[in-house]
Amino acid sequence: MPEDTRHKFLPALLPGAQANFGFAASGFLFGVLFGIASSGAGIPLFQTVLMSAMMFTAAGQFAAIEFWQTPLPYATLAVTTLLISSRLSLFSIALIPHIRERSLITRMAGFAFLLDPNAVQVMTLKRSCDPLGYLVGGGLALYTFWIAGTIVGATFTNILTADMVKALEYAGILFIAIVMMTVAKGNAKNWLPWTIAGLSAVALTEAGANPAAVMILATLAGTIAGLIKSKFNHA
Amino acid sequence: MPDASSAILAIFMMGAIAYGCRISGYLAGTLFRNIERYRSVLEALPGCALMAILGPAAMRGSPIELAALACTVGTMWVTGNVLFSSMVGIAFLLGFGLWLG
Repeated sequence: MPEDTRHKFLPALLPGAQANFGFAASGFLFGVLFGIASSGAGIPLFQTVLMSAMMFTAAGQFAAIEFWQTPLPYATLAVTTLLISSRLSLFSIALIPHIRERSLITRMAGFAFLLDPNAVQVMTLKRSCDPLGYLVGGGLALYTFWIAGTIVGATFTNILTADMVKALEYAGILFIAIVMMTVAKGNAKNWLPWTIAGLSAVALTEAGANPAAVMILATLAGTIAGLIKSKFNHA
Repeated sequence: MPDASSAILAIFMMGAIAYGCRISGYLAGTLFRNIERYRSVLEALPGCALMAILGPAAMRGSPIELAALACTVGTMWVTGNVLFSSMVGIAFLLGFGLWLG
């Protein structure tokens, strides 16, 4: 009889890392871009790598270096990080039905590695694996490539020319589109809330709302649409 | 440039906030006893957050960027391969971005 691996943390690390390898390899490129940008802003190598190690969130880090000056605007940095990283709290709440076992401390430690791709991979997980191990395995792969990319970018700042960096400005959106495709392939029945969220975001941007407010309000609009749809489905 | 101690303090503060965001949704959600009832809504949440980023980004993209986006999505749709799709999109951005400026 085959061994039941559903509740074993360690055997789930490797499949998690493998499932996220493509995202991690793409993350390496963004790490390089961040290293170059950070170095260009005059931030020393140690602080650049420490930022990647502590924050592990590309968008938040790119935003932070825009404000890196003397004296450091702590409140601005705090609010910017909070608004940009707020989507991670949406991913973590969505993981509640999937990750319930183990002590709260273990779960909270595992959530240090939560990012969009590995959270989505857990939600679309079909195989018999421990979800927390799968999340951490994927997170470790993403983390390792992100740090390695940061070191390469910050050390070899001339690896990409200014024109190449400019041409790659939109690469982050391609990355998010691929994550979205992974979400859609695993759960296409949610097209209505997603469409509402996307259209609301466009309308709010057109109305001049700031990006963080756009994300929160549009997500809320999509969630309300999902709630109404699920009520109709159960009626 | 800020001195090292101020910079490290700021980095730790931002790291703590990022981590707080990672756990706050989960901790807040576990306070609700009937969270399982809303599973279908929870499953829609990440897609909503991603679409809220993609919608405006698609609107402000240049023709080359939008073509790269379409190419990436199309490749991902057909192959389901994340790395290959990323490489196609990045090659498109670099190739056409540098060529057409």
